[in-house]
Amino acid sequence: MSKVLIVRWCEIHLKGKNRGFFEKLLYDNIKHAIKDINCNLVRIPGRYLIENLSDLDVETCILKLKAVSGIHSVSLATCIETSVENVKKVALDVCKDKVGTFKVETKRADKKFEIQSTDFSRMIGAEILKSNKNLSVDVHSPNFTLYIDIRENNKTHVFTNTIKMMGGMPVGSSGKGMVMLSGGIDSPVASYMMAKRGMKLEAVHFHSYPYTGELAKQKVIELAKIISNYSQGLTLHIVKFTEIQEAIHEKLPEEYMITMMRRFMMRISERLANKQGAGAIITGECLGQVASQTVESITSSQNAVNVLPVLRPLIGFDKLEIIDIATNIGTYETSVLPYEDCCTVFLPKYPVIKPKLEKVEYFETLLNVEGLIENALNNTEVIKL
Amino acid sequence: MQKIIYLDNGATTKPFKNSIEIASKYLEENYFNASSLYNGGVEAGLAISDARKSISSIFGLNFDVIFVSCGSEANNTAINSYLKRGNAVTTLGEHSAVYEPFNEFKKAGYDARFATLNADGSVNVENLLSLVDKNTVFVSVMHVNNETGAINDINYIARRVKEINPRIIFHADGVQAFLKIPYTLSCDIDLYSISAHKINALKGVGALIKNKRVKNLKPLIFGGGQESGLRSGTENIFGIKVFEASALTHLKSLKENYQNAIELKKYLLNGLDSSIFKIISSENCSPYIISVSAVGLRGEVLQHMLENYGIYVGTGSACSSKNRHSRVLKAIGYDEKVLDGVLRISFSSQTTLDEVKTAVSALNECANNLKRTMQK
Repeated sequence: MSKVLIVRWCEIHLKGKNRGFFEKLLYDNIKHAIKDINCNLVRIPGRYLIENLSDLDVETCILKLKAVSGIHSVSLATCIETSVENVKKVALDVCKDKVGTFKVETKRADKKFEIQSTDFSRMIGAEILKSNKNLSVDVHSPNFTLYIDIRENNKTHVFTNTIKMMGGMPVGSSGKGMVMLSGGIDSPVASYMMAKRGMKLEAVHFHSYPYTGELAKQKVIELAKIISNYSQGLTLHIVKFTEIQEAIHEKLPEEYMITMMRRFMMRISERLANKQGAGAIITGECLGQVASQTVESITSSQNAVNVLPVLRPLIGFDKLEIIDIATNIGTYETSVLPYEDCCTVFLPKYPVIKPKLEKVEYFETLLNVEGLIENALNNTEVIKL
Repeated sequence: MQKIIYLDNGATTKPFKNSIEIASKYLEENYFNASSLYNGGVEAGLAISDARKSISSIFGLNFDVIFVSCGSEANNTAINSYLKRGNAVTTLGEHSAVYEPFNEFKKAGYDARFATLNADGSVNVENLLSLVDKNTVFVSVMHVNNETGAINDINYIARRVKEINPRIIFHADGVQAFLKIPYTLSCDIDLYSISAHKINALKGVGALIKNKRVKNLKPLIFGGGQESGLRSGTENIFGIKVFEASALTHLKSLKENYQNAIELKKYLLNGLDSSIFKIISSENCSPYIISVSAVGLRGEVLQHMLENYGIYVGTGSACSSKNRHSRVLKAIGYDEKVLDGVLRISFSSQTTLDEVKTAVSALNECANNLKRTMQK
């Protein structure tokens, strides 16, 4: 008899011939996430098992697995040699201090086990009722369910609790994206959403020293570190954006400051993405949230990108929904620290809400766009997390 | 490495060179608990008692020294001891270590009163006196304002306060005054807070100076009964010894340093580009702390620009935080444009005229550059 963690995956079972690739990727990602914990990770049909895990490490292990995309749920189970007696013993032990209503659910992956699933459930249920007078059966909405999972290798897993995990696809299965990371609430959530869908991430941050300080930069590094837990590592590119902001501020109308900045940011992000082999740009934009996130503003910034798709996973979310996710993934507290990012420097009083593309393109002819972008890219600090 | 010109001595000061030597004696040789009864412990106890004598001698025979961990603790100990009944009065110019505890008591329903300020940040004495009455139990007025350098004549204020009600306990936060400006404490001062790291000693030590007459001081921390039961916890002996040594060094050259700071202040104020900088500190302020505002510009941006030259100054505001402006300067009544641009330049006894010269030209250059960039 031993304790095991059953790790179930999400959508991988929908895959066809390439299923092996996904299973292997998720296996590697899990292995990486729990590398500091003394245990064995094994692959069995349809799931993974984490064996030889010390009781002290169970919680840490589950916490680490929570950041691995592609995992649907985990259960801490008792693993026994398959036999009616063994199952009965464990079932009675698991239920001995419980009160309220329950049901038993049996799954027979091993059809050689002679008793049918429903019969077996009924049988074990009857034993539990006999031994614990505080329990009664409710098959529709029980307080808890005792699961009996009879596997092919003559092993049976008994458990009562299933913990929901991140879901999604394993990181590395959906290419790589370059996320535009500010110090705000939205972009870390956007990063998380894409990591959840299996995307590897690199991040670009625009820094405006001396208009913003070291603390603003440290805040973004802190956010990138949190995201890197979900994205299986992350490379952060910190681009010095000051010269571009000063040039826009000097030469162009105040109300177009942010529109023009966004175009520069898009261009720089696309170039970095191309250089780093990323196939998409990711932003935390959310329709109508601020002046730079109207359809017209998005058109204007999208227009600066040549080829790559710009993914906006939060486009249809409400702010409160975004805050909920940020809180759950642990970025909210850092995001709301008061150090401002480059977007708030030279902030116009009345930013243009519906920028005209012709105007925007004309304004750019007044700037040395290429030179400014080159300079910014040459002044980029790279941090691997 | 770029040479640093450190002009944020109001925040903290660089410890004197001999600090390491003094501290190491108590880290490597006599590291014993001063309450222990074997020789080493007794020696440690005597060393602390020597330090206590040295520091109390600066204040004269009427005062005792209670070592604590910092100026904030000294302030909190004083305030927490008396804000129990009646009412208490302080000023809107206080450091957070006085202002916030008062505020907490006020939130809990206690009658805490705040006196208004003059243009340089000193307290409006008449306003303060109008808040004091027969039920007042405690008055706290800072000696030198940490943002503007404004000096409050605490001896005079304490006397006037006690004319209204002689039973009042009068406390002054002396963190920015101690061994920087010349003074003697009158008998009307009951409690006085000082801090070691503002006078080239180490962080982690401060003291509450207590008039011998004062009773009913209550400890914040209970335990082994150190510091006559007023501050339990094993004494930070190396910090206390370095504090003592720095204090004695400062005491020897107090007047000379003060004159030097006056010269530095004069140079700074004459040298700053008057088309940009508004001087907030008045002539009567401590020469060690000078508050100026690059009106219409952002202090924090200037601070970062100066950092590139290796010059460190303080700001009165952070660009970004929600309460971005200095509470104190706001209370004086300055408008947003002034508040945005506030810089605090603070000297130590180590600051040289050459450093100030370099800083002044960098300040002018940075401010002019920033002004050009922001305007168009």
